[in-house]
Amino acid sequence: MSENRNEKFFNRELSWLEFNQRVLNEAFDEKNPTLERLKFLAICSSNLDEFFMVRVGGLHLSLAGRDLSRDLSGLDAEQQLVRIHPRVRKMVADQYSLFNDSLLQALECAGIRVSKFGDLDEIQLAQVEKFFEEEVYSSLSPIATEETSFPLVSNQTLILCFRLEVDQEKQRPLIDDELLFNERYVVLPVGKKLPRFIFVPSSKKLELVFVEDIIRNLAGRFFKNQRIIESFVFRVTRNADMRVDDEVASDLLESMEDLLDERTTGEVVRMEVPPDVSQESLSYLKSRLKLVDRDVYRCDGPLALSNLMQLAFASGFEKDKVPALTPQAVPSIDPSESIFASISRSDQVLFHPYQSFEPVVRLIAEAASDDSVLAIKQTLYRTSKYSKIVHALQRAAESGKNVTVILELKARFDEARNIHWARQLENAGANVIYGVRGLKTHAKATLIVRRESSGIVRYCHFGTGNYNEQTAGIYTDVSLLTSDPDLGADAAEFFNAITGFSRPHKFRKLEMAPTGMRKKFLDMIAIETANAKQGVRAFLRAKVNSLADSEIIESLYQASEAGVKVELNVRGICCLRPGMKGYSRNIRVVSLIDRFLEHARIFHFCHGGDERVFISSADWMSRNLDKRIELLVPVESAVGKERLISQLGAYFEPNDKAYELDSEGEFSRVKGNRSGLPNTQLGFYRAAKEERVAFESRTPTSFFPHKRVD
Amino acid sequence: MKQDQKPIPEEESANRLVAVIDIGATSIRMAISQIDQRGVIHNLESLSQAVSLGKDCFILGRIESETIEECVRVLKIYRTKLDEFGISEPGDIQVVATSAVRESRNRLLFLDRVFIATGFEVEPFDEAELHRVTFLGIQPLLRQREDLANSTNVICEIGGGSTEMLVVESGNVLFSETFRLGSLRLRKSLEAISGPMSELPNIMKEQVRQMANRFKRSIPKLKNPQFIGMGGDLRFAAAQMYSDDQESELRELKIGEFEEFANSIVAKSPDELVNQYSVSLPEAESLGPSLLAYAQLVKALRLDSFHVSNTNLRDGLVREMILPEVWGKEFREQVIRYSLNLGRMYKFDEVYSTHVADLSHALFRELHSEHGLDRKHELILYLAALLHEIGQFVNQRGYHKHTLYLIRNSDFFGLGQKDILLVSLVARYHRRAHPQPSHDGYTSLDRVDRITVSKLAALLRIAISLNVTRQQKVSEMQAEIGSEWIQLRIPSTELSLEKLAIQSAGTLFNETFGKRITITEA
Repeated sequence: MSENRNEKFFNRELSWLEFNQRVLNEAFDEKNPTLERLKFLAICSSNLDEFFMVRVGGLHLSLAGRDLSRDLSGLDAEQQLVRIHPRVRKMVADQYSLFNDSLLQALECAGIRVSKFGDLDEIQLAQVEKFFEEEVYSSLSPIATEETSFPLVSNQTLILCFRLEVDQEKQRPLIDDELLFNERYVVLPVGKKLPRFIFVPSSKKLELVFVEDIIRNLAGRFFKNQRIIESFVFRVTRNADMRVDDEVASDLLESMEDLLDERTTGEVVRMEVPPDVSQESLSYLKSRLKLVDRDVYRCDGPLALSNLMQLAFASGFEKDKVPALTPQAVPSIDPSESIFASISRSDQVLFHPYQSFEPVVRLIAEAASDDSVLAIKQTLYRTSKYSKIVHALQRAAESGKNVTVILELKARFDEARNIHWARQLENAGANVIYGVRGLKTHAKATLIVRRESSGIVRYCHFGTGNYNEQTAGIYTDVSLLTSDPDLGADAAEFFNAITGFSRPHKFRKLEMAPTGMRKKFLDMIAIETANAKQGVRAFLRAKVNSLADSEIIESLYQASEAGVKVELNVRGICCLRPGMKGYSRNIRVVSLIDRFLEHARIFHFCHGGDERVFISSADWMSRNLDKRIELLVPVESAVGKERLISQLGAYFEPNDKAYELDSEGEFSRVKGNRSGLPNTQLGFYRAAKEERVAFESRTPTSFFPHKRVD
Repeated sequence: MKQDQKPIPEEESANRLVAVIDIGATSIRMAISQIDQRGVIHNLESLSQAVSLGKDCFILGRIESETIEECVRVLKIYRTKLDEFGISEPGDIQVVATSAVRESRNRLLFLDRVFIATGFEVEPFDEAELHRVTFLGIQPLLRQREDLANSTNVICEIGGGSTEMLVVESGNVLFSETFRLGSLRLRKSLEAISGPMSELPNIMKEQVRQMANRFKRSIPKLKNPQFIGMGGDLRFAAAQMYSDDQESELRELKIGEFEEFANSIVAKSPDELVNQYSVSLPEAESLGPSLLAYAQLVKALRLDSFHVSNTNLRDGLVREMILPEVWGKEFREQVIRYSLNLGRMYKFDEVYSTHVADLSHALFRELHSEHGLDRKHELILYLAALLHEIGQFVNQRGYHKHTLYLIRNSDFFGLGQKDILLVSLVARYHRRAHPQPSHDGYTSLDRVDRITVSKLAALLRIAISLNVTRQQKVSEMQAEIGSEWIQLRIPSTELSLEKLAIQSAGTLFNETFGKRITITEA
């Protein structure tokens, strides 16, 4: 293995793992309430699940395809796997030691007891036995394994494995050789229909047993007259980095449905087992699932810690959770008037979830039932299960409005939901476009065409986050609601282009990936560089989820060397190496992990004093800039610009949840006593609240009776 | 809570939405515009799709059936877009086709297929109509800019199939011409000559140089002209050369920088251009020759810089759609000026002819209830009256036939081929034989146009009779209209010659309108 390292970049997988470590750190942080810590433990775990499915899966594909390409830091697939596995093993060990040594105890204090089957008293036992009889025995069936094949075990479900002794006399020998084996394996998938936690009567507020623990202990019923030599639970993760080749797929909708089937059969890239599994059983599973040692993870506790999320949201434990922060109403949007009136009065910049996502939902709902609206066009990437937005679109289409929805079928892990919505919307009469060939449509844009007395007026919403009312409550995102005619014309161009109505033209204000956005960013950075070289004031600030595009990073290095002050707020992957003499001395990278998932993408350029602010759906990753349909939207209203500049600035102030990346790739918290430091997210929330309260106190209470409309 | 606010009024607006579609050699484009109450045009949406009409036409001379279907597919999409805005009235939609369709042998098949599949009535635009629309499109810009308003402007658009050139001085069109030389046509003819592809840029440069020289030779000698280029290729070049800038109405380019850019484009293969600039293949093919030709032409005019206008054919079409009267005053004046120049060229009796034209005009107005024709026909009559004697330049004998020939083979700024034919026929029938189905030109007209010719020729004959003395004695009249007769009351004491003339010249009038026309002294 030749090493051909490029020291100017960090490896993206290892950088992502450090992000997940920061998530785990929140679970370790005793200043957080217990259930909040549990939540972060669950997130860390579900993140790892996805990481294995997609990233490790992808590296496995590269290995299988003898793909020798290297990442930015100069590592090939094998070299990356060699580094990834030990890092994850350390993280998993940390997760379980946290759970066993600290969180279980803390939960007990909070009134939640996690019991083992063996600890149950008689009454409790009677209840779980009843549960087993009624819910489990009839619904689950063990699957025998055979010499030649192994049953298909699905991705990331709990599977019980039983090693049974074969009664030599009762066994009817088919082939003489079989007699040599005096034991056999049976697997029992627990299935996703059963609850993970079984609650039992208790003196505590809540007492629970893991379902697999119950089944394992009562499984004798399945195997009468057979001795169970060993039983344990395991879980496999399959490669999900499979894509439909949509360049050739004639019917994308059908191909996507096929893909969903395929995801359950992809190659296994990880197996989780308990630490005490016998060598025989382990060898057996490894050979059947074609695994090598490094794919096996021994977990000292319950598998799929991600399920703990359910507990973290259990009702009635408010003092062990972070206080709920209700999204605040936006003062400049008056609920008593048409939202179109509010938007035409001034551009509205909203910062979610501190400010409510409701105006965005309202815009579409109002448009759906407004006779003056001619057309609604929207992109949908990930939306919620019960989506008011989709229902409004459906209603609009049913009432004969021209509704066009670009529904991205290729949104990973949301394919099934999106296929469902696609069919619903089509039935309602909407024109549904399943994304764009070869590209994922990740941009978040809505265009509403309305005929008013002054003529055609176009209202737009541009966002950094999905049209998903659920995630809008926990992700930080920015929305721009505007009736700027230029942005409206651009939005029309955008939809004409991606729906195949027209070839893309030059936009007035927007920039779009994969066509002009990369160049725009590089140009904006280059302008700072040129200004710095001429001694003009130059700086840039950006907030992205990930920074992994080599061209962008190189241009930031050039800016840094020219003396541009570069401040980056990067939540996850950061391949840029800051603070290095010779290329990145002037670059500072901070990262923030807190109760809300940092998700907004905001960019602020000094631009020779004529400051420019943009929001975007895109990260600074090659995939966003080259393989996706994304939008970069300027925020030009003085109020909106001001607001975003100050919000972005706050991320670079000392605060208690921030990390700073050093030149060695280490993220470290602010040194010293953190307790005196402000909390950025709470600060945003307080500001949103104060803004609302101040507004309400200025407007005296009055009552408006409903009157008969003449 | 705040006081209830009234929602934005939502009554049907007085704004008008119109759409124009132009079917060109390399693409089909649509512009949807909103006209506000003050008559200001706001462009709402612009759509374009690549088609290979030019390639078919310039190589095969006909449009292949796949290409027709390609166009139908695009036009169906555009129809969907129009439905979205609720634009459905034929008067709000104009679809025109330029050289590629016009020159194809199977254009009728194309037009029929498009009509059946999409309901669009495509108007094939001839060169003169193109001039008119181009002029209308660029006029607001010329008026706005003082430096342009008072100078001589060479306005040029090098298209895929043809090149259009206008010379406008202080708002007057001095010259207009369309050359059957275009960028795509050039490339296709070069590619047809088999030779090493690597030589193509050089051969192209030489061809383009010759092309530019032809253009230059044909336009009149000008003092300090300004050059304004139009068309998608130039707009593309300007956008690439000044990428950070917003698209502006008029941008000045330095010829040095522009030529450098043009050379860099010519050096690349169309495939490379498609990849690098995400333009369509037909556009990429025409880009190099077109930019080179602009550069050569500007250099041939010895200019250091030139302007790129972002107005296009669609802008002119929209303006024409919304002008208060279809054939507006400005356009009428342009055409009349043009015709006067033509008459002078053939040494016509200007005082006499102008007077007959004015009399025709007066008659047309007085007898409107009889003929029921519109402003466009008024102009046709006026022009025919102005030019009815120019055939005398060739020979006195049968001069009305020479007049027909001369008018039919002249360019009138902005007047389409059919309208020119009408002018020539009306002028021809000012004397001698009445219109006959066997007469050349007249046979090709449909019934409505045949009747129009008869009506206008009848009026022209009366106007000529009223000036039979060639002394411009009669200039006013008042018509009294009965069920079988029309009497023109003319403020004069002695009209015996005129009465005599009308007796013989009025037969066509009688046949056409079914009424006898007489004159009397008022």
